[in-house]
Amino acid sequence: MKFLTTFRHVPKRFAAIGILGVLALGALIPATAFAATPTTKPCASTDLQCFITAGDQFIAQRQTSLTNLGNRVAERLSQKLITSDQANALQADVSTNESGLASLKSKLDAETNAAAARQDDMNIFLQFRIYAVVLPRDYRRLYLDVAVNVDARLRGLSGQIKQAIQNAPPSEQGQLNTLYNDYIAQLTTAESQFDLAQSDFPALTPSNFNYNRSAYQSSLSSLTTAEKTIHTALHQAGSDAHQIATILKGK
Amino acid sequence: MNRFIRSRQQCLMLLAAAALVLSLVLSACGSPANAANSGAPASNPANTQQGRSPIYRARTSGSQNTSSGVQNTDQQIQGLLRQLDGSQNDVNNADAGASQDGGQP
Repeated sequence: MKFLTTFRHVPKRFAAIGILGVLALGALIPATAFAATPTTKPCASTDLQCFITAGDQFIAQRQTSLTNLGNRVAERLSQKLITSDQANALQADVSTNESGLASLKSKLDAETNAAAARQDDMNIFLQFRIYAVVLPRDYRRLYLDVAVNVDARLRGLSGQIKQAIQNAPPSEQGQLNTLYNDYIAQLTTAESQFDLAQSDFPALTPSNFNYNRSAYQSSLSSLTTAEKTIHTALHQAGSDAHQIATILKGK
Repeated sequence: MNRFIRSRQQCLMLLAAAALVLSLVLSACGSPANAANSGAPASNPANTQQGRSPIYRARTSGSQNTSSGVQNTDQQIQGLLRQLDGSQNDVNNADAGASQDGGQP
């Protein structure tokens, strides 16, 4: 009661700020905190239907994720961020995994023995490694393809930047040329990583993940480092271009 | 007495808010007035070129074309980099989901 009396004396604007604060805090809590986490009950060793149902669910999840990857590849192609050859290579991998999972589902659904169905379920993980290997690898491949094309486009625009600098007042040319030289150097840094990154992909296989984890991890780590270098260099080139444009805009 | 002080405070706050709104409106109105030559300082409006020599006008005009060209180039580059960031996000999301079949079933 005393609390209510005290509260009544608090100015209305403080109350409004308090309510807004609570709402803002609510917005900060990620929606995923309320998302239902999938739970899988272990199947009894003789429960054939349980193994089939569980396996079908695992396969459906993976098919959906592969469809999403295929859609993203198509989107990047339509945005002209990758070439049709690059898109085809990725779509071929999506199709291979989709058809492999579809075959495994047919086999699983036809099983009459719980042990065989259990082995099929294990093969969804062991043979495909969609989440552990295929998606991280293929999204990295897609990233690299996009980066190669972005780099080429930035390289192509360098002539226009150079021309603009030549038309700038002589007093600005020193600073502008320093930025331009760094722009070119950053593109060269990115390009120096492309072949290194490409060479890491062949080792990123489910087989290496299962049986030669150190080789797998080493290649993944090397690829990740190369792509980070590429990302940083392209962004630095973008920053150089932006500074050049800002200086020229002020003229 | 307290009511008097409170109403005075409210008046002051209202005045401050009105001044803020007024300054925002004035700054918004001021920008388009010099939009034809956004790079020029306020003391150098676009039409002062009329009194300059033809050579000066031609050089300045060429410089402005170059400037707008490089602005377009910059916009293209920043757009490409945003799309590159999108691809980087896809990689991060794929990595976040990797634990779903990272171990043995």
